[in-house]
Amino acid sequence: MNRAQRTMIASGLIIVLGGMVFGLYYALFAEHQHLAGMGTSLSTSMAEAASGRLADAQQSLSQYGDVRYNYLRNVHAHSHWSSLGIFLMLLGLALKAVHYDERVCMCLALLLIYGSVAFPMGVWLATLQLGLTAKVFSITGAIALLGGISGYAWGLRPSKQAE
Amino acid sequence: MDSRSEKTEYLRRGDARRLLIIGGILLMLAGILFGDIFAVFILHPNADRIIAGLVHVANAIIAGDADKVFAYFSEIGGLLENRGTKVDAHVHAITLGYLAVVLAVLQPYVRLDGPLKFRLAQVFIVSACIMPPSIFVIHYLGLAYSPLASIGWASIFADLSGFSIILVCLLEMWGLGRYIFASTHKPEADEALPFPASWEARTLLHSGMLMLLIGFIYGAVHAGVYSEKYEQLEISRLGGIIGHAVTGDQDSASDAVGDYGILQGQRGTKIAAHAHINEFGMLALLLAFVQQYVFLARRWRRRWVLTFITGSFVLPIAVAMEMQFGLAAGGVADVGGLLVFIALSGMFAGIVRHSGMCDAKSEAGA
Repeated sequence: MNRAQRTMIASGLIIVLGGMVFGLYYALFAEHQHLAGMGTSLSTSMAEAASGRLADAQQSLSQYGDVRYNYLRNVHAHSHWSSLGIFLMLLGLALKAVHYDERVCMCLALLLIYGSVAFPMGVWLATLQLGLTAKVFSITGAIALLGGISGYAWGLRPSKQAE
Repeated sequence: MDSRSEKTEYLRRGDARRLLIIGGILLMLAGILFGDIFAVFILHPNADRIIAGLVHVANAIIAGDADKVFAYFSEIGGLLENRGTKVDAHVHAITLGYLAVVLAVLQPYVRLDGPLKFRLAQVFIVSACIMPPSIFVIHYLGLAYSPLASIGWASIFADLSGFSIILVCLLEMWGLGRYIFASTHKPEADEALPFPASWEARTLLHSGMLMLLIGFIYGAVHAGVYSEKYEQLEISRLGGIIGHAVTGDQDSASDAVGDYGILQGQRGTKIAAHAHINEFGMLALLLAFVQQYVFLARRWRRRWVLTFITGSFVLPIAVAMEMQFGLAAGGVADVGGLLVFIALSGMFAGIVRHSGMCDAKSEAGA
């Protein structure tokens, strides 16, 4: 294994672990509460509407929106960190198929690692009301992932040297 | 050039790789089959019943009956939990299968004793087999006899198995770290990671990267353009249902429920298309590394690869078109999933043959 491969595989495993620990924490301490909160607020909203209390119904609906916002982003962070960690390990294992020198491979590795951490991080940070910071991480992370995977795919094309 | 002449690695009895590859692929097969059955028999009827439930809720608002609202919502909550836990079980079975095969490929680089590695593989596979059924059972078991207020026994088992998997991965990481930080970086001489160079492996590698590229671009567009818009529209359409119901306009309230259902369908199909093409892309990369263990004739190895690639593209494309073409597209997607299942089963049969061949050679040698 060269340095770029070791970096990608080790980082991927750490990210998978991080994603799983996050998922376990969320499942134990928050997921059921979020699900119950969504159900309660939405049903309360409709019941308040049935009772003629429209202002209260709108308030409860807004509360439903807030809880759902947090729920979706927590699930997104867990699933994307876990999947991107596996994705990084796979790309690390197959890195020898890419026709770049080691310096470029290392840059590609760092780009993909940054993207794999930052994109889900940005989505999760939105739950902490860190609007601009969250957007910076998610947008730069997405760009890094797209750039990294495009560069990787380009490097797989048959090269004259290989032939 | 077919590279069957390259050195073949053997999956011997007691080798953690063998257990992880076979266990991992079995998990994937179970997850894919379950997902196909769920998509054919449960997904759409469940969605229809949720929409019907919301129409009842709208009528209950018109009638001013708050108790009926809560009763109908209790039913809707059960339907949502039914769908959510089944999707969750499907996803976790497949993802744990992926992780098992990745760990298998990494085994030559994990500097731990062979028996310990095998024991870790056993713990991983057992835990991975407990988690998805535990998640599935959450809907049926609920909080019955649970010692906790909001977490039932099924969730407890699912969380404990997840915790075991985390511990195994930590130990694997430690073993990998010993390799990475060692002064020499050659793995055991007869267990070097073979670079996937056969036609089958290269085809899977290239098609997998193409799927991932498409999936990432599709996901980025969805995240950038549609994601927040859908969330805002969801609240707006729920508000519309309430607004029409409060004025007593039953027809408009029903239409609003229909609009809400269409929105959920649009969002759900886009997310499903993105998730599936990415997952199939990763699976293609994984399978590139196990082709050397598929002990079948060349024409069958190639047929399974082509069948897999066909199904991997058909399913997500058909899912993405489901809102335009309805259940016909859904049916085509299910066929795509079936093709992936059949191809993976074919490859699995080849891997089992390989392990049998290894056992026979060992006995002959002994």
